Amino acid sequence: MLDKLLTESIYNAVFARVREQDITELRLRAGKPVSYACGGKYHSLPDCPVTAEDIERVIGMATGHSVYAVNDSIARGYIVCGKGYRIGICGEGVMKNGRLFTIKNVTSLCIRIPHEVKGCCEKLQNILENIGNTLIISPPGLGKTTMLRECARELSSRYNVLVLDERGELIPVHEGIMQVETGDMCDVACNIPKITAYATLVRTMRPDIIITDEVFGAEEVRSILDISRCGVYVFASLHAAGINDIFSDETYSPLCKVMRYFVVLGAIGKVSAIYDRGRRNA
Amino acid sequence: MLELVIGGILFACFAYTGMGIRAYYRRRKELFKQYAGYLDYLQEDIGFLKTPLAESTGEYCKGKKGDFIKILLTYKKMLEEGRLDREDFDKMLSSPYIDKRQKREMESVFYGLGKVDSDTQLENLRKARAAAEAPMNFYKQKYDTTGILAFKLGVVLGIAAMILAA
Repeated sequence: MLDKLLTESIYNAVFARVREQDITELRLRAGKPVSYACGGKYHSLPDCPVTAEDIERVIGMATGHSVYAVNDSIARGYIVCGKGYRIGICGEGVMKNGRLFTIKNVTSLCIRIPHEVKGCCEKLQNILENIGNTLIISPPGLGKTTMLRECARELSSRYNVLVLDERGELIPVHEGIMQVETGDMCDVACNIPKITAYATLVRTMRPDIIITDEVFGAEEVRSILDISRCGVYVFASLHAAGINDIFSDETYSPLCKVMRYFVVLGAIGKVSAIYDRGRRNA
Repeated sequence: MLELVIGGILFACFAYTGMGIRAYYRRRKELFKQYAGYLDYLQEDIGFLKTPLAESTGEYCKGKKGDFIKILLTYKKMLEEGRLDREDFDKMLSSPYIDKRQKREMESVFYGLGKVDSDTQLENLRKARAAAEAPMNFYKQKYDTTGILAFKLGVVLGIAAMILAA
Protein backbone atom coordinates (compact mmCIF):
# COMPACT_ATOMS: atom_id res chain seq x y z
CA MET A 1 0.00 0.00 0.00
CA LEU A 2 2.68 2.51 1.00
CA ASP A 3 4.54 1.94 -2.27
CA LYS A 4 1.46 3.25 -4.06
CA LEU A 5 0.74 6.09 -1.64
CA LEU A 6 4.21 7.59 -1.44
CA THR A 7 6.40 9.06 -4.13
CA GLU A 8 9.33 6.87 -5.08
CA SER A 9 11.92 9.14 -3.44
CA ILE A 10 10.21 9.08 -0.03
CA TYR A 11 9.41 5.39 -0.20
CA ASN A 12 12.99 4.49 -1.04
CA ALA A 13 14.44 6.83 1.58
CA VAL A 14 12.26 5.45 4.38
CA PHE A 15 12.33 1.79 3.52
CA ALA A 16 16.05 1.70 2.95
CA ARG A 17 16.25 2.16 6.72
CA VAL A 18 13.28 0.29 8.12
CA ARG A 19 10.95 -2.57 7.20
CA GLU A 20 7.37 -1.70 6.32
CA GLN A 21 5.93 -4.00 8.99
CA ASP A 22 7.96 -2.25 11.73
CA ILE A 23 6.67 1.22 11.06
CA THR A 24 3.60 2.53 12.91
CA GLU A 25 3.37 6.09 11.72
CA LEU A 26 4.73 8.27 8.96
CA ARG A 27 4.66 12.05 9.01
CA LEU A 28 4.96 14.30 6.00
CA ARG A 29 5.23 18.05 6.54
CA ALA A 30 5.75 20.30 3.54
CA GLY A 31 9.31 21.63 3.49
CA LYS A 32 10.38 19.50 6.46
CA PRO A 33 12.12 16.14 6.58
CA VAL A 34 10.07 12.94 6.50
CA SER A 35 9.77 11.30 9.89
CA TYR A 36 8.51 7.91 10.93
CA ALA A 37 7.68 6.13 14.16
CA CYS A 38 9.16 2.74 14.81
CA GLY A 39 9.12 0.93 18.14
CA GLY A 40 7.59 3.98 19.81
CA LYS A 41 10.38 6.35 18.72
CA TYR A 42 10.38 8.98 16.00
CA HIS A 43 13.15 9.08 13.43
CA SER A 44 13.74 11.93 11.04
CA LEU A 45 15.33 11.84 7.58
CA PRO A 46 16.99 15.24 7.04
CA ASP A 47 18.14 14.25 3.57
CA CYS A 48 14.56 13.67 2.47
CA PRO A 49 12.50 16.88 2.58
CA VAL A 50 8.82 16.67 1.74
CA THR A 51 7.46 18.68 -1.20
CA ALA A 52 3.93 19.83 -1.94
CA GLU A 53 3.84 17.26 -4.77
CA ASP A 54 4.62 14.47 -2.30
CA ILE A 55 1.61 15.50 -0.20
CA GLU A 56 -0.59 15.88 -3.26
CA ARG A 57 0.41 12.39 -4.40
CA VAL A 58 -0.59 10.84 -1.07
CA ILE A 59 -3.96 12.60 -1.05
CA GLY A 60 -4.57 11.67 -4.69
CA MET A 61 -3.78 8.01 -4.21
CA ALA A 62 -5.60 7.79 -0.86
CA THR A 63 -8.78 9.26 -2.29
CA GLY A 64 -8.56 7.34 -5.56
CA HIS A 65 -8.20 10.79 -7.17
CA SER A 66 -11.79 11.40 -6.15
CA VAL A 67 -11.82 14.04 -3.44
CA TYR A 68 -15.60 14.38 -3.74
CA ALA A 69 -15.97 10.78 -2.52
CA VAL A 70 -14.30 11.49 0.82
CA ASN A 71 -14.92 15.17 1.36
CA ASP A 72 -16.98 14.57 4.51
CA SER A 73 -14.10 12.63 5.95
CA ILE A 74 -11.60 15.33 4.93
CA ALA A 75 -13.78 17.85 6.75
CA ARG A 76 -13.35 15.70 9.86
CA GLY A 77 -9.59 15.86 9.36
CA TYR A 78 -8.67 12.47 7.96
CA ILE A 79 -8.90 10.04 5.07
CA VAL A 80 -8.94 6.28 5.44
CA CYS A 81 -7.59 4.10 2.67
CA GLY A 82 -6.52 0.56 1.95
CA LYS A 83 -6.48 -1.82 4.89
CA GLY A 84 -7.32 0.84 7.45
CA TYR A 85 -4.51 3.33 6.86
CA ARG A 86 -5.71 6.50 8.53
CA ILE A 87 -4.23 9.70 7.17
CA GLY A 88 -4.64 12.76 9.37
CA ILE A 89 -4.75 15.98 7.38
CA CYS A 90 -3.69 19.43 8.45
CA GLY A 91 -3.99 22.52 6.29
CA GLU A 92 -6.21 25.50 5.58
CA GLY A 93 -9.85 25.05 6.56
CA VAL A 94 -12.68 26.14 4.29
CA MET A 95 -15.86 27.07 6.13
CA LYS A 96 -19.37 26.83 4.68
CA ASN A 97 -22.54 27.72 6.60
CA GLY A 98 -20.54 27.98 9.79
CA ARG A 99 -18.97 24.54 9.66
CA LEU A 100 -15.72 23.15 8.33
CA PHE A 101 -16.47 22.16 4.74
CA THR A 102 -13.10 20.96 3.55
CA ILE A 103 -9.36 21.39 4.02
CA LYS A 104 -7.26 22.89 1.25
CA ASN A 105 -3.54 23.65 0.85
CA VAL A 106 -2.64 20.65 2.96
CA THR A 107 0.67 21.11 4.72
CA SER A 108 0.96 18.05 6.95
CA LEU A 109 -0.06 14.43 6.83
CA CYS A 110 0.11 11.84 9.58
CA ILE A 111 -0.17 8.35 8.11
CA ARG A 112 -1.01 5.75 10.72
CA ILE A 113 -0.26 2.23 9.64
CA PRO A 114 -2.56 -0.43 11.09
CA HIS A 115 -1.25 -3.75 12.31
CA GLU A 116 -2.97 -7.01 12.96
CA VAL A 117 -1.29 -8.44 16.06
CA LYS A 118 -2.79 -11.84 16.61
CA GLY A 119 -2.56 -12.89 20.22
CA CYS A 120 -2.27 -9.35 21.58
CA CYS A 121 -5.39 -10.09 23.65
CA GLU A 122 -3.78 -12.90 25.63
CA LYS A 123 -4.05 -10.89 28.83
CA LEU A 124 -7.72 -10.30 28.16
CA GLN A 125 -8.64 -13.98 28.05
CA ASN A 126 -10.59 -13.74 31.28
CA ILE A 127 -12.62 -10.86 29.86
CA LEU A 128 -13.26 -12.68 26.59
CA GLU A 129 -14.50 -15.73 28.48
CA ASN A 130 -16.60 -13.88 31.09
CA ILE A 131 -17.69 -11.03 28.93
CA GLY A 132 -18.79 -7.71 30.31
CA ASN A 133 -18.66 -4.09 29.17
CA THR A 134 -15.02 -3.27 28.61
CA LEU A 135 -13.18 0.00 28.21
CA ILE A 136 -9.61 0.03 26.89
CA ILE A 137 -7.76 3.12 28.03
CA SER A 138 -4.50 4.68 26.93
CA PRO A 139 -3.00 7.81 25.43
CA PRO A 140 -2.96 7.83 21.58
CA GLY A 141 -0.71 5.42 19.72
CA LEU A 142 -0.40 2.58 22.24
CA GLY A 143 -2.50 0.01 20.40
CA LYS A 144 -6.10 0.39 21.57
CA THR A 145 -7.43 -0.07 18.05
CA THR A 146 -5.23 -3.10 17.43
CA MET A 147 -6.47 -4.65 20.66
CA LEU A 148 -10.12 -3.95 19.85
CA ARG A 149 -9.61 -5.44 16.39
CA GLU A 150 -8.27 -8.60 17.98
CA CYS A 151 -11.18 -8.66 20.45
CA ALA A 152 -13.56 -8.39 17.48
CA ARG A 153 -11.81 -11.29 15.76
CA GLU A 154 -11.94 -13.52 18.84
CA LEU A 155 -15.45 -12.65 19.98
CA SER A 156 -17.10 -12.82 16.57
CA SER A 157 -16.48 -16.53 16.35
CA ARG A 158 -18.89 -17.03 19.28
CA TYR A 159 -21.13 -13.97 19.44
CA ASN A 160 -22.92 -11.66 17.03
CA VAL A 161 -20.50 -8.77 17.04
CA LEU A 162 -21.35 -5.42 15.55
CA VAL A 163 -18.34 -3.20 14.89
CA LEU A 164 -19.17 0.49 14.71
CA ASP A 165 -16.29 1.83 12.71
CA GLU A 166 -16.99 5.45 11.96
CA ARG A 167 -13.49 6.12 10.66
CA GLY A 168 -13.02 2.84 8.79
CA GLU A 169 -9.84 1.82 10.57
CA LEU A 170 -11.00 -0.79 13.08
CA ILE A 171 -12.23 -3.34 10.54
CA PRO A 172 -11.50 -1.71 7.18
CA VAL A 173 -13.93 -2.63 4.43
CA HIS A 174 -13.16 -2.27 0.75
CA GLU A 175 -15.92 -2.76 -1.83
CA GLY A 176 -17.99 -4.64 0.71
CA ILE A 177 -15.22 -7.04 1.76
CA MET A 178 -13.65 -6.91 5.23
CA GLN A 179 -9.92 -6.42 4.87
CA VAL A 180 -8.85 -8.09 8.10
CA GLU A 181 -9.61 -11.51 9.51
CA THR A 182 -12.77 -11.71 11.61
CA GLY A 183 -15.00 -14.45 12.96
CA ASP A 184 -18.04 -15.66 11.07
CA MET A 185 -20.46 -13.58 13.15
CA CYS A 186 -19.03 -10.12 12.59
CA ASP A 187 -20.97 -7.19 11.11
CA VAL A 188 -19.27 -3.91 10.33
CA ALA A 189 -20.96 -0.53 10.04
CA CYS A 190 -18.35 1.72 8.53
CA ASN A 191 -18.42 5.45 7.83
CA ILE A 192 -21.74 5.79 9.64
CA PRO A 193 -21.83 8.41 12.39
CA LYS A 194 -21.70 6.45 15.64
CA ILE A 195 -24.67 8.12 17.25
CA THR A 196 -26.85 7.20 14.27
CA ALA A 197 -25.46 3.67 14.28
CA TYR A 198 -26.15 3.19 18.00
CA ALA A 199 -29.72 4.31 17.55
CA THR A 200 -30.57 2.19 14.52
CA LEU A 201 -28.31 -0.83 14.23
CA VAL A 202 -28.92 -2.17 17.73
CA ARG A 203 -32.50 -2.81 16.69
CA THR A 204 -31.88 -3.90 13.12
CA MET A 205 -28.77 -6.07 13.56
CA ARG A 206 -29.54 -7.33 17.08
CA PRO A 207 -25.91 -7.71 18.20
CA ASP A 208 -24.70 -9.43 21.36
CA ILE A 209 -21.67 -7.20 21.52
CA ILE A 210 -20.86 -3.79 20.07
CA ILE A 211 -17.23 -2.89 19.51
CA THR A 212 -16.29 0.70 18.87
CA ASP A 213 -13.18 2.82 18.92
CA GLU A 214 -12.42 6.16 20.57
CA VAL A 215 -15.49 7.14 22.55
CA PHE A 216 -15.81 10.89 22.30
CA GLY A 217 -18.20 13.33 23.94
CA ALA A 218 -21.25 13.27 26.16
CA GLU A 219 -23.64 12.25 23.42
CA GLU A 220 -21.76 9.02 22.75
CA VAL A 221 -21.48 8.31 26.48
CA ARG A 222 -25.28 8.62 26.71
CA SER A 223 -25.66 6.23 23.77
CA ILE A 224 -23.40 3.67 25.47
CA LEU A 225 -25.46 3.91 28.67
CA ASP A 226 -28.58 3.25 26.60
CA ILE A 227 -27.02 0.31 24.80
CA SER A 228 -25.91 -1.26 28.08
CA ARG A 229 -29.42 -0.91 29.44
CA CYS A 230 -30.63 -2.91 26.42
CA GLY A 231 -28.42 -5.82 27.45
CA VAL A 232 -25.87 -5.46 24.68
CA TYR A 233 -22.24 -5.62 25.78
CA VAL A 234 -19.95 -2.81 24.72
CA PHE A 235 -16.22 -3.01 24.06
CA ALA A 236 -14.83 0.46 23.54
CA SER A 237 -11.65 2.49 23.78
CA LEU A 238 -11.01 5.91 25.22
CA HIS A 239 -8.10 8.33 25.20
CA ALA A 240 -6.96 8.79 28.79
CA ALA A 241 -3.79 8.30 30.77
CA GLY A 242 -5.41 6.13 33.45
CA ILE A 243 -8.61 5.06 35.14
CA ASN A 244 -8.59 8.04 37.51
CA ASP A 245 -8.86 10.41 34.56
CA ILE A 246 -12.20 8.82 33.75
CA PHE A 247 -13.57 8.68 37.28
CA SER A 248 -12.79 12.37 37.74
CA ASP A 249 -14.09 13.53 34.37
CA GLU A 250 -17.60 14.91 34.32
CA THR A 251 -18.28 13.74 30.76
CA TYR A 252 -16.87 10.23 30.99
CA SER A 253 -17.46 9.30 34.63
CA PRO A 254 -21.01 7.96 33.86
CA LEU A 255 -19.27 5.17 31.92
CA CYS A 256 -17.90 3.85 35.20
CA LYS A 257 -21.44 2.86 36.21
CA VAL A 258 -21.84 0.49 33.27
CA MET A 259 -18.30 -0.66 32.50
CA ARG A 260 -17.21 -3.85 34.19
CA TYR A 261 -13.64 -4.05 32.93
CA PHE A 262 -11.09 -1.28 32.47
CA VAL A 263 -7.98 -2.26 30.56
CA VAL A 264 -5.12 0.23 30.81
CA LEU A 265 -2.28 0.15 28.27
CA GLY A 266 1.06 1.39 29.54
CA ALA A 267 3.23 0.95 26.47
CA ILE A 268 2.64 -0.10 22.88
CA GLY A 269 0.47 -3.22 23.05
CA LYS A 270 1.30 -3.79 26.73
CA VAL A 271 -1.48 -4.11 29.29
CA SER A 272 -0.39 -2.38 32.48
CA ALA A 273 -3.56 -2.98 34.51
CA ILE A 274 -6.97 -4.59 34.31
CA TYR A 275 -9.72 -3.51 36.68
CA ASP A 276 -12.82 -5.63 37.28
CA ARG A 277 -15.63 -3.51 38.74
CA GLY A 278 -13.05 -1.00 39.97
CA ARG A 279 -10.85 -3.63 41.56
CA ARG A 280 -7.41 -4.12 40.10
CA ASN A 281 -6.91 -7.66 38.80
CA ALA A 282 -3.58 -7.50 36.99
CA MET B 1 -12.11 -10.21 -69.03
CA LEU B 2 -9.31 -7.81 -68.04
CA GLU B 3 -11.73 -4.87 -68.30
CA LEU B 4 -14.10 -6.61 -65.95
CA VAL B 5 -11.36 -7.20 -63.40
CA ILE B 6 -10.16 -3.55 -63.64
CA GLY B 7 -13.78 -2.40 -63.35
CA GLY B 8 -14.24 -4.53 -60.25
CA ILE B 9 -11.04 -3.19 -58.67
CA LEU B 10 -12.08 0.41 -59.41
CA PHE B 11 -15.50 -0.22 -57.92
CA ALA B 12 -13.97 -1.71 -54.81
CA CYS B 13 -11.56 1.26 -54.45
CA PHE B 14 -14.28 3.89 -54.74
CA ALA B 15 -16.73 2.03 -52.54
CA TYR B 16 -14.06 1.37 -49.93
CA THR B 17 -13.06 5.06 -49.88
CA GLY B 18 -16.70 6.01 -49.40
CA MET B 19 -17.03 3.49 -46.60
CA GLY B 20 -13.83 4.82 -45.02
CA ILE B 21 -15.15 8.38 -45.00
CA ARG B 22 -18.45 7.21 -43.55
CA ALA B 23 -16.64 5.18 -40.87
CA TYR B 24 -14.52 8.22 -39.97
CA TYR B 25 -17.61 10.33 -39.29
CA ARG B 26 -19.34 7.45 -37.53
CA ARG B 27 -16.42 6.97 -35.16
CA ARG B 28 -16.28 10.69 -34.42
CA LYS B 29 -20.03 10.71 -33.78
CA GLU B 30 -19.75 7.67 -31.52
CA LEU B 31 -16.81 9.14 -29.63
CA PHE B 32 -18.63 12.33 -28.70
CA LYS B 33 -21.83 10.45 -27.97
CA GLN B 34 -19.94 8.22 -25.52
CA TYR B 35 -18.15 11.22 -24.05
CA ALA B 36 -21.48 12.91 -23.34
CA GLY B 37 -22.83 9.61 -21.97
CA TYR B 38 -19.84 9.31 -19.67
CA LEU B 39 -20.41 12.81 -18.31
CA ASP B 40 -24.07 11.96 -17.69
CA TYR B 41 -23.09 8.75 -15.96
CA LEU B 42 -20.59 10.51 -13.73
CA GLN B 43 -23.15 13.11 -12.72
CA GLU B 44 -25.52 10.39 -11.57
CA ASP B 45 -22.88 8.27 -9.91
CA ILE B 46 -21.15 11.12 -8.11
CA GLY B 47 -24.37 12.87 -7.18
CA PHE B 48 -25.91 9.80 -5.60
CA LEU B 49 -23.24 7.30 -4.58
CA LYS B 50 -20.04 9.39 -4.70
CA THR B 51 -18.30 6.43 -6.34
CA PRO B 52 -14.58 6.98 -6.88
CA LEU B 53 -13.57 7.75 -10.46
CA ALA B 54 -11.73 4.54 -11.33
CA GLU B 55 -14.65 2.41 -10.19
CA SER B 56 -17.20 4.61 -11.89
CA THR B 57 -15.19 4.68 -15.13
CA GLY B 58 -14.78 0.90 -15.08
CA GLU B 59 -18.52 0.46 -14.59
CA TYR B 60 -19.32 2.78 -17.49
CA CYS B 61 -16.96 0.89 -19.82
CA LYS B 62 -18.45 -2.52 -19.04
CA GLY B 63 -19.81 -4.15 -22.20
CA LYS B 64 -19.04 -1.12 -24.37
CA LYS B 65 -16.65 -0.75 -27.29
CA GLY B 66 -15.26 2.18 -29.22
CA ASP B 67 -12.54 4.79 -29.41
CA PHE B 68 -13.72 6.72 -26.36
CA ILE B 69 -13.95 3.53 -24.31
CA LYS B 70 -10.27 2.88 -25.15
CA ILE B 71 -9.50 6.38 -23.87
CA LEU B 72 -11.47 5.72 -20.70
CA LEU B 73 -9.71 2.43 -20.06
CA THR B 74 -6.38 4.26 -20.34
CA TYR B 75 -7.74 6.88 -17.94
CA LYS B 76 -8.76 4.19 -15.46
CA LYS B 77 -5.28 2.72 -15.59
CA MET B 78 -3.77 6.19 -15.08
CA LEU B 79 -5.98 6.71 -12.03
CA GLU B 80 -4.90 3.42 -10.54
CA GLU B 81 -1.24 4.16 -11.15
CA GLY B 82 -1.46 7.81 -10.10
CA ARG B 83 -0.10 9.11 -13.44
CA LEU B 84 -2.17 12.24 -13.92
CA ASP B 85 0.13 14.90 -15.31
CA ARG B 86 -0.83 17.14 -18.22
CA GLU B 87 1.46 15.11 -20.52
CA ASP B 88 -0.33 11.90 -19.54
CA PHE B 89 -3.68 13.43 -20.49
CA ASP B 90 -2.21 14.77 -23.71
CA LYS B 91 -1.10 11.27 -24.67
CA MET B 92 -4.36 9.73 -23.51
CA LEU B 93 -6.47 12.00 -25.72
CA SER B 94 -4.32 11.67 -28.83
CA SER B 95 -6.81 10.42 -31.37
CA PRO B 96 -7.43 11.22 -35.03
CA TYR B 97 -11.08 11.69 -34.11
CA ILE B 98 -10.49 14.57 -31.67
CA ASP B 99 -9.26 17.88 -33.03
CA LYS B 100 -6.95 20.24 -31.14
CA ARG B 101 -9.57 22.53 -29.64
CA GLN B 102 -11.75 19.65 -28.47
CA LYS B 103 -8.70 17.90 -27.10
CA ARG B 104 -7.86 20.97 -25.00
CA GLU B 105 -11.41 21.11 -23.66
CA MET B 106 -11.52 17.40 -22.85
CA GLU B 107 -8.09 17.57 -21.28
CA SER B 108 -9.22 20.27 -18.87
CA VAL B 109 -12.35 18.26 -18.00
CA PHE B 110 -10.35 15.11 -17.23
CA TYR B 111 -7.62 17.04 -15.45
CA GLY B 112 -10.20 18.66 -13.17
CA LEU B 113 -12.02 15.43 -12.30
CA GLY B 114 -11.81 14.30 -8.69
CA LYS B 115 -10.01 17.35 -7.38
CA VAL B 116 -12.94 19.09 -5.73
CA ASP B 117 -15.90 18.44 -3.43
CA SER B 118 -19.04 16.85 -4.85
CA ASP B 119 -21.08 20.04 -5.30
CA THR B 120 -18.34 21.75 -7.28
CA GLN B 121 -17.63 18.53 -9.16
CA LEU B 122 -21.26 18.17 -10.21
CA GLU B 123 -21.39 21.79 -11.31
CA ASN B 124 -18.22 21.31 -13.39
CA LEU B 125 -19.66 18.15 -14.92
CA ARG B 126 -22.87 19.93 -15.84
CA LYS B 127 -20.86 22.62 -17.63
CA ALA B 128 -18.73 20.03 -19.41
CA ARG B 129 -21.84 18.13 -20.48
CA ALA B 130 -23.40 21.29 -21.87
CA ALA B 131 -20.20 22.00 -23.80
CA ALA B 132 -20.15 18.43 -25.18
CA GLU B 133 -23.59 18.88 -26.69
CA ALA B 134 -22.38 21.01 -29.61
CA PRO B 135 -19.68 18.65 -31.01
CA MET B 136 -21.96 15.66 -30.40
CA ASN B 137 -24.74 17.18 -32.50
CA PHE B 138 -22.30 18.53 -35.06
CA TYR B 139 -20.72 15.12 -35.72
CA LYS B 140 -24.07 13.39 -35.72
CA GLN B 141 -25.21 15.77 -38.42
CA LYS B 142 -21.89 15.39 -40.25
CA TYR B 143 -22.33 11.64 -40.25
CA ASP B 144 -25.94 11.83 -41.42
CA THR B 145 -25.02 14.16 -44.29
CA THR B 146 -21.35 14.00 -45.33
CA GLY B 147 -20.68 10.48 -44.12
CA ILE B 148 -23.68 8.86 -45.78
CA LEU B 149 -23.24 10.99 -48.87
CA ALA B 150 -19.58 10.01 -49.20
CA PHE B 151 -20.53 6.35 -49.03
CA LYS B 152 -23.26 6.69 -51.64
CA LEU B 153 -20.97 8.74 -53.84
CA GLY B 154 -18.23 6.14 -53.53
CA VAL B 155 -20.62 3.40 -54.62
CA VAL B 156 -21.99 5.45 -57.53
CA LEU B 157 -18.50 6.46 -58.70
CA GLY B 158 -17.40 2.87 -58.39
CA ILE B 159 -20.26 1.69 -60.58
CA ALA B 160 -19.54 4.47 -63.09
CA ALA B 161 -15.87 3.56 -63.19
CA MET B 162 -16.75 -0.09 -63.66
CA ILE B 163 -19.07 0.74 -66.56
CA LEU B 164 -16.46 3.00 -68.15
CA ALA B 165 -13.76 0.37 -67.76
CA ALA B 166 -15.99 -2.28 -69.27
